[in-house]
Amino acid sequence: MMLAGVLLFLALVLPGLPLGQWRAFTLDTAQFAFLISGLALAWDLLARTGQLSLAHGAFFGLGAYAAALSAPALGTIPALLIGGAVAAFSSLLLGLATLRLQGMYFAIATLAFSEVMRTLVLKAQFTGGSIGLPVQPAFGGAYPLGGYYLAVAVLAICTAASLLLSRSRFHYAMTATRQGEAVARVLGVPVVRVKLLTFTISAFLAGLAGGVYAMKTLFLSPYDAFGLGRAVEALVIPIFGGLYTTTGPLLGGLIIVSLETWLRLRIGEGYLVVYGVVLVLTILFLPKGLMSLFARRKGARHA
Amino acid sequence: MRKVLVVLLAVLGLAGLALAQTTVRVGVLLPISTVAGKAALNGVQLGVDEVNAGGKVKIELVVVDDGNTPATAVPALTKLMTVDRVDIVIGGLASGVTFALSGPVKQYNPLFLCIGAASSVVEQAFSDYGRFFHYHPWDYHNVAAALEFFKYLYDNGARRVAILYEDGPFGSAGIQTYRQQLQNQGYTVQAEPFKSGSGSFTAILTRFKSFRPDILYWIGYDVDALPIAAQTRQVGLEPKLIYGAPPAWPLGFEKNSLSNDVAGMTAWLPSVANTESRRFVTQYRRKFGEVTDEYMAPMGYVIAQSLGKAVEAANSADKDRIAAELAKVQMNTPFGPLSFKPSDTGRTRFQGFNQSIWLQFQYLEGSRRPVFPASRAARPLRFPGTY
Repeated sequence: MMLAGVLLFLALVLPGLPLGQWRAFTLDTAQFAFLISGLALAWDLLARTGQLSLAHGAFFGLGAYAAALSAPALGTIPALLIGGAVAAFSSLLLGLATLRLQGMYFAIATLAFSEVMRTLVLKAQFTGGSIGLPVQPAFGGAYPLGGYYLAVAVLAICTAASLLLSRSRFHYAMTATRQGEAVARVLGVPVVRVKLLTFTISAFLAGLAGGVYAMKTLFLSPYDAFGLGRAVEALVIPIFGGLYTTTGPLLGGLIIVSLETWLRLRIGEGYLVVYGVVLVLTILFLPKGLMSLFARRKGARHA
Repeated sequence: MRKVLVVLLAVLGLAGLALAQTTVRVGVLLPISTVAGKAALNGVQLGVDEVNAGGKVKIELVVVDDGNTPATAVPALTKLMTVDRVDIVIGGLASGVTFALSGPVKQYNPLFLCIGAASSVVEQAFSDYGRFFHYHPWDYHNVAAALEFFKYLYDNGARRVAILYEDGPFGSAGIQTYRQQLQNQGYTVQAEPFKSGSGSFTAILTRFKSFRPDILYWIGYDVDALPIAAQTRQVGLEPKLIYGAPPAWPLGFEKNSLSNDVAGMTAWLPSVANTESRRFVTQYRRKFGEVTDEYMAPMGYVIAQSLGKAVEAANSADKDRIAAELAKVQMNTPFGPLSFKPSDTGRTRFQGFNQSIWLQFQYLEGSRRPVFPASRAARPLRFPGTY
């Protein structure tokens, strides 16, 4: 929790730090890193119930499109909330139909949902279809750091939601559901309701992140907004950082985006090879993610 | 003493040359992990080498990868502008990414030399930006060029077109326009979407069979080329022409006998017979040890060359003076003559090429040959082809 707080504090004060000529670039990169980390935290919430979702890219995209379409009429903050709400509502419908499924079956259902959403957005006229959709900047571009602080706010909300859930009684219900649904039912845990509520919260957060993303990139296309790559990113980061934790996805997201950016700048062509090798090595030697390093140190201190 | 004088003169000469030389730092923002992006970068580097070898202008490149996604491209542009402090940027290959760059470009005001981004949405996004030079034709130019070829085919007896289009932005974007325009030309059209990379087309092609198309027109990606060519034969569709419109053709497709008689559209081929094209091919082979079919390579080359001319004429590194000279540039290129005019819609002020650079080719005996328009054809079109 301490580390999460420090990271959020750093995010807040980053624009004021003496970054010199690297300031604008660092803030741009950080903004995207915060949004991806927020998405990863949202994905991890559902993972705590034992469900593997490939729909988080679609929730991110739905939030992005809904926010982009409603921003001209409603303004930035209400539009972002609408984005989150649309994503949450769609997850509710999807969850009602699929959350009785488990493991791979649920993952496949969520993958199909992503494809359906992408196709619908692709075919609809009001979304700009395949041509894409121009998006207004946050607050009409009136505040240069408006988008940045929105990204910080999304990250803070995702972190707070993750921390609150992990410290509530609900956490036990989620863990029991993950460890064995049958046993959880016997213990009186309303398994489907727990999964559905977690899914809805998780999708809301993903939609919120998507809305801010849209206001940063200023343009949405179905392939970018609903790309499977984003769904994969959402699950790779918690695995890299440490599943079922708050600091894991948070730290993992920041490290992965920073690492990718650094490699791209330093190596140029072929940076993906190095990036891939680093990820594989981390998963091989730290199967419980970066957080296992902290756990080991803590364990060593207690020994 | 004599030796000392010679050395002194040489040093003075070099110093004079350095003083007369105008140096500009140019940012290059391309998806260098993609085939087209890499080809474009090679072209830019080749063009810059030639400009620098001329001695009057020195262009220094700062290359960054745009990752083919806005999330990477926006920070990359910011870095070029604020860390590397370039005043000129060459980039903008994919339309979606280029649109996302429109905000930061207007914020930092570089001279932006756009290599691709054919979508009219981009034209609209940069309509109020005076330092935007767009070299590539716009999407309406692409449609016009293809339709000219279809008119020729209609005059030669083709009446029915079956369109097979991928369901993504690339395939779906202009489909309604294409359909309408073909119908206006007198064609009967049947169109069906497909998922690119699926490899399975027999169901759609079998449905097309009862339609008996004269032309099978597919709009998709390189991975679809071979399955479509193979399965068209398997189901016995027997069109008079298979016409493909992928952004890039698969490597080695020409070596496969199934490619024979398949036609398509490109802006340039190594076999294009003009002086600049031949020169480009020779120089490219010398530098990279191979010949490229990617028209983004000569496009990058043309941008670097035209920039070199503009910097030389401006005799200054000031981006506005360079832009003013670039607007006046008239030069021969591997694509034909280049000069900047307002775009056809009047939205942007500096449009380089139009539909005239597009040419139709056909895979014939293991290589791509220009077949249309007649003025640029190396061989007559084989119509009907044998599939």
